[in-house]
Amino acid sequence: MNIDPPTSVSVVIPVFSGADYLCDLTQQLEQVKVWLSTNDAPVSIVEAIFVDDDSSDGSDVILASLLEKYPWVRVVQLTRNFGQHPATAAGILHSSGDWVCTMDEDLQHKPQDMLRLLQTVTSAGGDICYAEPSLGTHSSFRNKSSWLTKKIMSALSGNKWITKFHSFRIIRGPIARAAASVMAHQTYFDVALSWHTNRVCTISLAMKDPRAGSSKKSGYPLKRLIQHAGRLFQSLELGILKMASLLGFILMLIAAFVGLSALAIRIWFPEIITLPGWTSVLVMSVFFGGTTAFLVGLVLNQVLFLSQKMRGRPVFFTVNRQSDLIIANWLDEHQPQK
Amino acid sequence: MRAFTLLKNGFKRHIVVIGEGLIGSAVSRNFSAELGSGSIIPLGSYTTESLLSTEKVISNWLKTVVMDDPVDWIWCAGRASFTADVLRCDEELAYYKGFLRLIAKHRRIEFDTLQLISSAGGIFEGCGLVDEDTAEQPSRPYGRLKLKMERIAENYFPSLHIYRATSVYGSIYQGHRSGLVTSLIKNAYRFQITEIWGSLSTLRDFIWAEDIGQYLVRRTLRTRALGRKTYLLASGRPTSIYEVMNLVKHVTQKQILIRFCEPKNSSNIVFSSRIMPQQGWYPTALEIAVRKINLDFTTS
Repeated sequence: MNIDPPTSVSVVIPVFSGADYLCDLTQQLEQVKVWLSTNDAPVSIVEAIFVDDDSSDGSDVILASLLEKYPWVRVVQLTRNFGQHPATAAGILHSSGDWVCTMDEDLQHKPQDMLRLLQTVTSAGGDICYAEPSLGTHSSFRNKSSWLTKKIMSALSGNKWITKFHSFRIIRGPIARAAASVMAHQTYFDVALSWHTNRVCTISLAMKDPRAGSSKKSGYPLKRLIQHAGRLFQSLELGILKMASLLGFILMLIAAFVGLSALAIRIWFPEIITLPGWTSVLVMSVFFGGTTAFLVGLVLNQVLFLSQKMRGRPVFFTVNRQSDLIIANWLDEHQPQK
Repeated sequence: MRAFTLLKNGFKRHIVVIGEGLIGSAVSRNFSAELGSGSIIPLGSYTTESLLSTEKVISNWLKTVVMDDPVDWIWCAGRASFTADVLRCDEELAYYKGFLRLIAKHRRIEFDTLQLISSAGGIFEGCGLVDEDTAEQPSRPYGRLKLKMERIAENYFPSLHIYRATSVYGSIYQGHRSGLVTSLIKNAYRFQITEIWGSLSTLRDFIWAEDIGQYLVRRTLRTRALGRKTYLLASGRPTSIYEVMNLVKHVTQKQILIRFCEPKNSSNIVFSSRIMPQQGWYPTALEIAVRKINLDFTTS
């Protein structure tokens, strides 16, 4: 059984310093596109959207030539450097595919592996599939610090998928566009995705940063990576905030218990507390402390609610997963070329 | 219809805008800004009988005012909506044919130009991503009507410019359709339900009627373009219903109430930016236009 028309895939590639790789990347994408078309696949690559994030290495010139050469290539030019996540969101908002695959500009992510991402996500009935590097893709320090940062954020927010976030991903088109459309300044794109679905899966893939260990600069220096981590932190809803009013209430109860206990001891066992005025000071301190804790908890809850509303976190979202199994079965039977 | 006169390099040309709906009023407004308010020639009601009764007025005007000067006829008098039935579409087709026959009867229109506003959404419905190689495949009476109108125009005018507009929305004026985006804004303030033929994920390409007006003015006034050409007026930026709703909600700060209607038209219709006009066409970003429309609505 085939799907008519085929399920479409848009590929989105943010570009900052990809001059050395863009031509090869596009050729490889075309090979995948042609292979799918030749084999009458129920899925097709309809467009590759390169987002020029104010590149300074001549990538824009190369993109202009690719635009001329390949009718399925589109270029979106940003007015200044906005960063990888905003550039990704811009590309996604210009896409129309039923699935959107995002990848890096530097051939770290092989276009052929996009089909493995698609096979995994459709077999699992998922909405997002992240690539998981089977080997470290960058320097050891960078890999470890990235892992540690995400682990801490995951513990603080209760979002178990944070450690799996990766720029090589395939996302169901409507969800990708919905998340991109509600992204605000400093929103981490994958956090916005997590507001729309929790059907996430991963697949282990071999990846290597071609710029690691060479004299070529990575597109993302240390300062940018720290900003990236900051963006992730700001986007998260910290678990402790969700429990703010409960914590405040518990503290108020504890304060009430301590205060009442001290009062009871003062009344019935006055010989235990000999310091004059101590009980009064204690009762007043725990009363105001407990009340303040409770009120602060309420306020933090309201702040969280308003923050969620402002960020555009949806009340609900709907998708159609009807063609997933057809695609999964076809990709199972047909091995993509290497 | 509204007639304007352009005097350029000693030559006189007349520009006639037929229709004062969503697109027609935007076109007229922009021509008025350049050429003055023009003169109104009444066409009566939207029936062939009404055309017959105004034939004398039109022929008089052609004989006494236009004479041998060339005319740019800009047809923006579409009445049928996307979901119109066969009867409604036949009414529009009959009116359109009647109008063309009328003017052909009273002047030699082979020296005139017809600029016809058509519908990309109707003609390419269900095509997904439309590019240079996509074949026209209207699937409902509205789309077939638009294609028929284009073919009929080819029989009358050697010089023909067809503008296939995507999903148009416009400013808030009484008495004409304003498109989905504007309807959402209006209904948000009135706490009314907006009916949508599609789903939250349905992608459309939205363009602002004012952009069409400005583009037509630029093209018409700059030079007398002859020959035959078809233009796609789109933004190249697919937008989901979900995104539009969120945008309107954010700008108006009101709740949006929607109802999804049958028959559903949830297939995407989006357009490659490659097939848009490369010169002179500057589509306004949706967010800017929504804010402008919202401001107009709240201050009017």
